[in-house]
Amino acid sequence: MANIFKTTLKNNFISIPFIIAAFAALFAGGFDVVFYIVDYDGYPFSDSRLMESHMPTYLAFLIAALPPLLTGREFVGGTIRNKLITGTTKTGFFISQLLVNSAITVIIAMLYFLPTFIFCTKYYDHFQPYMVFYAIVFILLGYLVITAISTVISVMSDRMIVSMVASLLLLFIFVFVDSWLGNSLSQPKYQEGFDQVYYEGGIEFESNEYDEEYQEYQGSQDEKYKDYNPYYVKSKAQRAFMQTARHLIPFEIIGNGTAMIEEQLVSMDMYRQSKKEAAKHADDYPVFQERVESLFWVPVYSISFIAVLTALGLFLFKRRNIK
Amino acid sequence: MNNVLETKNLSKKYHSSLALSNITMSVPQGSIYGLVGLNGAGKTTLMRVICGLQEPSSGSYELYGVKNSDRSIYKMRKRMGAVIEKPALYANMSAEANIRAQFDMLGLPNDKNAASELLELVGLLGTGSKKAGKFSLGMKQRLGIAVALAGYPDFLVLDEPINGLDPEGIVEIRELLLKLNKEKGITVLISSHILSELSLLATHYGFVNKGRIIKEISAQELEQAVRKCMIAEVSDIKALTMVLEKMNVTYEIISDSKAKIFEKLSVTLLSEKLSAKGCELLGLTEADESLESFFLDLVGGGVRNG
Repeated sequence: MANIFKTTLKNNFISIPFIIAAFAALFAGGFDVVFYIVDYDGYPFSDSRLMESHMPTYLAFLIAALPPLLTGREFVGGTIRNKLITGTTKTGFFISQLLVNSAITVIIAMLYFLPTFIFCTKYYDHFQPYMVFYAIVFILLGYLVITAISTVISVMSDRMIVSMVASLLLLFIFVFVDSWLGNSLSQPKYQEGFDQVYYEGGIEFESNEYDEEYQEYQGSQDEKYKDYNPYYVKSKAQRAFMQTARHLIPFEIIGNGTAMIEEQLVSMDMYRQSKKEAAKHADDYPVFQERVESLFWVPVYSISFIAVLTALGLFLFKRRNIK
Repeated sequence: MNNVLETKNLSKKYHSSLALSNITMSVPQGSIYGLVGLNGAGKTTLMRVICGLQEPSSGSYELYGVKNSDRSIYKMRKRMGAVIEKPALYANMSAEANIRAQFDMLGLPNDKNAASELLELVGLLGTGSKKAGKFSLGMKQRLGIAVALAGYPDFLVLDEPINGLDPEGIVEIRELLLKLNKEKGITVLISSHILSELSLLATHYGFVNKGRIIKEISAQELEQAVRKCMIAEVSDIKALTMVLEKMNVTYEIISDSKAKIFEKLSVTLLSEKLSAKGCELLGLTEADESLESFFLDLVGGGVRNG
């Protein structure tokens, strides 16, 4: 298997899809840094544009597109036959493709993070490399889950375009499900008020119950509007299931990692604390309110997911008739 | 003679359709085994199964005496090379890079000279850095064979290797296969529906129809079966045999009144000699059974429409 791994890696390194993806990742990383530099001028780095950066999510789509282009080439060109005919097992082929695609994913992700990392170490006084390192590892795990999914899809079809569309479509579904689960889980138990538009001096203002002036105006009316929220997920078991499902979605994993980079100082404090202590202070950091409990499990979930995908991929691929 | 490949009741089913049905055949070592069949007869499926690309639905096969269910079959596969359906190449690589990639994959020394030797063998030495994707079909076929030879196999499986080749290319591939067989002792399993071409190569034949092997025959036996002859119909077959024996002519009795005569002879002379023995020559017709008509007879004649 070592031979097929080495050959595939070598062939993929000189392939056009990999070269384009590598440049795209480097460019995306540089693009983020340009944002920081622009922002850095007169503003503290904690307001970093990373907080608003969706680049790690976009990169996930690029990463999902690579296995169909690289592994798919073996099926389109028929070179998989040269391997199987001369004694490579289907298991060996699948595992080598998974490892090569994973290695390429790591390289692409590193190229993306490289400019950020260099920038942080040079310009950011409070930079804590190991914290960013953890965050990068989490994001990488999310990417590796996506790579595993995409590789399984790629070995199941002879048509590159079918694999590509299926991989990207699945990612869109993940985005949708992740946002639906997130939205469902973050529903408050009670309806916390409603947006109200009022006018003052001919100018339109939007307010809600958190607005201090509006609170005064609202006064005792508050209780009246504190109705039970029908969208709140009551059942503990259902919440646990939804939370677990959410952690399995690679975008949630990537989101967690991105949030860690975004608020690395905050997360650093939170991470050092016990679960109980963290939960006590969680109100101060809304981003971590729902995530802090699960950070430990993120790598466990990701690695388990990759293991399940590998087993599923092997099961399906071994039964596949190669043309 | 040892067999490189032996199949026993090999069957392959795709959902409800049976692509191979109880195929039992053997490919002797050192032979060029021609697999003959119409399009869709099951030749490619059979090759895919024996090359390990697909699992048989039932039955088994042995490669160099090792059963397909045995784990060591993978070691035996290292002694194989194959081009199935179309040449398997990296389109973005040159001919040499394709061969060297196969060397790497097989764990062999990535030797430029060895790659050049293979390219020379298939007549592609001068292609330089031209990408395989830009090659003509004939060049791709030849490169496919070169890649299949990269592991120095002693069993080569080729599925319709002369498809799409020009006459010159066909001759080159034929000469190459004969050279590999005679000089390097490589056993070849080759499928084709161009029977006239196959007849210039094959030492053994397997006729496939509707997923079944309908006849296995050696080249000598086939030659006997399709050689030109005259069919003589006489009133007394014993008299005919006596006359033919005296004339030292090769013949074959095919019924109580008919015999095949495989050599040219004077009709007048034959008639006179038969008359002298009181035997009447009722008819003399020329029979020219070609390989094609032999095959069509085997598969039931009117299988091919138009």
